[in-house]
Amino acid sequence: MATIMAARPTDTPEKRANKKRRRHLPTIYFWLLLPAAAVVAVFTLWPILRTLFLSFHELRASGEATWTGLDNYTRMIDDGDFWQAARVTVVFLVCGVLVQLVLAWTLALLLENRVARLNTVLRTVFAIPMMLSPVVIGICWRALLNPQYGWVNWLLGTKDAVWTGDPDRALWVLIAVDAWQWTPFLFLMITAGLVGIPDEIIEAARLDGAGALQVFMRIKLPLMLPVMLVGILLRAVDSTKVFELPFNLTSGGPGNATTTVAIFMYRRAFAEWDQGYASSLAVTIIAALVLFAFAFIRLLRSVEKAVS
Amino acid sequence: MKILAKVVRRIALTAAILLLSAMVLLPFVWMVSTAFKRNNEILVYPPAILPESFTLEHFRRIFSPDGEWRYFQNSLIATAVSTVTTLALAIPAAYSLGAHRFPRDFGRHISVALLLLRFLPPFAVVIPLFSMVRSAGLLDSVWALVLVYTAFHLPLAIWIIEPAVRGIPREIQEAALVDGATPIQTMLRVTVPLLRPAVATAAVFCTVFSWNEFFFSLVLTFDQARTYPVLINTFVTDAGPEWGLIAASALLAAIPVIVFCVFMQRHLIRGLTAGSVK
Repeated sequence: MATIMAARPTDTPEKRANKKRRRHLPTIYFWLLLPAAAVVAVFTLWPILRTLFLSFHELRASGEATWTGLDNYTRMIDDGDFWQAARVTVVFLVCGVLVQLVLAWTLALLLENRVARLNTVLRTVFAIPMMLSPVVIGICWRALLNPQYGWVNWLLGTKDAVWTGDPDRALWVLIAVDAWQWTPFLFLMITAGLVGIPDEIIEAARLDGAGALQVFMRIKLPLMLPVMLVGILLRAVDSTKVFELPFNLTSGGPGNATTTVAIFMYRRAFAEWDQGYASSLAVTIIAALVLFAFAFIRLLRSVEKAVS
Repeated sequence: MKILAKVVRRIALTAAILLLSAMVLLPFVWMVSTAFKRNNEILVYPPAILPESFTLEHFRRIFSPDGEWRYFQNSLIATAVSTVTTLALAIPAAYSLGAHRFPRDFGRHISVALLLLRFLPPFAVVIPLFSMVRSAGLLDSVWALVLVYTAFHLPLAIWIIEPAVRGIPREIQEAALVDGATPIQTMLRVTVPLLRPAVATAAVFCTVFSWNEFFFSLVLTFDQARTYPVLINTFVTDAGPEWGLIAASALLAAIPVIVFCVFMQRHLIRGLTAGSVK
């Protein structure tokens, strides 16, 4: 004890100097960042590289991978089922986002003057569908759309009308349910933006004799373009990876009428255990997604420049 | 005439809002109504909105000793643990990225990489993750889900918290450093208390996303560690869906989300930095 006590005072200046030096070194910030970076690297970055690696291989059930070059990719080109899934996803993406945009704008303009008053309640009610599990939503709508005892047929007075079971209709039903869940997202984005447009600009246009349509086309729409493009990008990316909703609403059917690329890939990987091929599907989808996102971000930049 | 037009417009608008709310609420009405109906009342046409004989049998089955409650428990564990670990990793990382300027723009590159990862589709990584989890012997274990959820929600959490770190006036943190606090002390005593709204928002998003997660649970669990979304999916059997149980489970799953939505509304509005610089 005594020796330690005696040694202490001589240690202190050195320790202090050490502390001071350490404080000026940036390394501590690096160490704070490292755990998160390591977790992300191990559980997302490495698997991405591994998926890329596997896409050039055939994976046996034993876990053994044999190099097959571009075989998986050439197989994909000849795979009619893959193109059907791609078509479903593109229709779902384009039509879905368009429907949601039109609905969101209609609502935003309809409710423009009330939004301020109903603010909190309306916003909370609208936020709930987005936060609910697509599994719950898919299953609930599956029940509501049931031909024999579903509530939708009862409310519309169309007894025995088939919705999710009709191959020509199923995709549109899927788009409608997705719109039910996600229109509020674009609506909330647009109303938030509309509130930000200064009243004076619209007043000035009105005084100059602009009608409601002109105010919308010439002022609101152009000013809202950057906000809308961000919303569209987010919705498009989410639509590309849509899995839960069709998996639960229609199980990808009837046939493969609502089999999106994500469901198609899942079935190849975990029902047929054809994981090399499934990896090449994943790589293709990500490549398409990245290309699309970059093109879109460039468009966004130029629009932002043009507006400001 | 003008007054009449105004009245008509107002009525139309109110009707539109009511119709809209009804459409938004339709699945919830179905859920509540069906969850309390006896099985023989569910499959009738025309359906009745109010149950004729109010019953708790579906909930009783879920909460019975060998009932489906254990799947909800799995969801609860995976959600709670992964949210805590996500925040424990995200707060230091966000603080480091927000408060420190790394050489050669390193911090900005990391931020952009994290933003890209936020949009990463789960299916892009699921095959290697499955092999990793299998060789670690964690298939059908809640801990595999905890790991995956943590990794997947980290970028989002960092992206929510980092701007809040930047938003804290530099003087506050510099003052603490000048007064002799280490960066870690500064983070814990000065920065984190000011980050409470951002951390709460991140926590809510992590909680809701983990609670709702379906894809990884579907792939990485079979029975023991199954979470409630997969449970609801398995209710759709060949013998015909058990709608009463589905509605009751869906209701149990939706209630926490709805509570969180209301809770989050308050948190997003409240700004804590307002009073801290005098």
